[in-house]
Amino acid sequence: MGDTDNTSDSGGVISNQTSIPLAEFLDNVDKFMEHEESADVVIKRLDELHSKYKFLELNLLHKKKRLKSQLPEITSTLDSIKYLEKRGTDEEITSLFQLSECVYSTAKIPPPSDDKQTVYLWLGANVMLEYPIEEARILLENNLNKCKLSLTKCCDDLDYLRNQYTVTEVNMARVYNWDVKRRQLEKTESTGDK
Amino acid sequence: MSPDGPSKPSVSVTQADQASINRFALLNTRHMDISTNLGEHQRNLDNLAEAKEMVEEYQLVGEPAEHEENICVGYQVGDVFVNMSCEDTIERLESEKQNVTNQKAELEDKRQTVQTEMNTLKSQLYAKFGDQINLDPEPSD
Repeated sequence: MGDTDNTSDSGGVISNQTSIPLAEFLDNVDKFMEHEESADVVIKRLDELHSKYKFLELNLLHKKKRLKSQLPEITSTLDSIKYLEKRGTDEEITSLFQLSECVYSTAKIPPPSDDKQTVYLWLGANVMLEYPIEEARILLENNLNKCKLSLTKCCDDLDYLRNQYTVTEVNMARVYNWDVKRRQLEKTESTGDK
Repeated sequence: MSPDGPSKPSVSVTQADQASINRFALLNTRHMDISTNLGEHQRNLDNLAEAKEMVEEYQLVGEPAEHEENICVGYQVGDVFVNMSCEDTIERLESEKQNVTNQKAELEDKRQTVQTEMNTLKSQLYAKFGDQINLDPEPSD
């Protein structure tokens, strides 16, 4: 996942689906600075790019946190369904559920009257649907897989972003060093002339 | 990376060096993530072990509720607590514990691999750049 693009285009090339701009790697700082006005301008430009990356990173981190919190919810719902599927056809389940804050109530879940056991799934937006238990399990498993895929993609994007971030930081340090060296050279030349 | 001192020549950074630096940054982040996850797994394991102890104790001293043959314990499945016999509860706790232990072992292995690669890259980069690069974590105050 290293950067191989080394053209002298400005660093605004979008090379990732989530529009993370590509940070070009500077092979030769001297050659690069020949085309540029001054080190300050370049450093300022790189600094802006750096802040952009920081902002994108924050967004991606929020997204990752959200996905990470969805995973245990879906897993525990799936667990409940598997538990319901596993019990015998004549077994009645007694359970405690939360009626409201600090108030729990007993509930008896009767065994399925016929072969088809149904469950109700909360789909969000005040919508709840009845599903046969098989379908419900498949739906939840698909959701879980989608969530895991999104999480992986989010992590990949974060890795790519960090690479660009590091390249920009290294570029900034090198341009700064180049500038310091240039100033010292000028100083030595001017004191040498005197 | 800090700026040069006035007398040190700066070493040029090649594409390969940049790739190594990028790889190191990636591994560093991954290492931190794995450490956080491992902490969570450890807490889960501790909770499960404690729960198992309490259920076993309760099994010895508790009495069955009315209409129940065996002593029941509420085991959390999703959002509700399902009444299960103590044996079933202990069995479930055991299998949960086994799952978490396996996941923890996998993470430990990953962390070890990441650590080894990080150490190799560290020695490479320090050899080339010496003072000009800092790869150690900052001391937290």
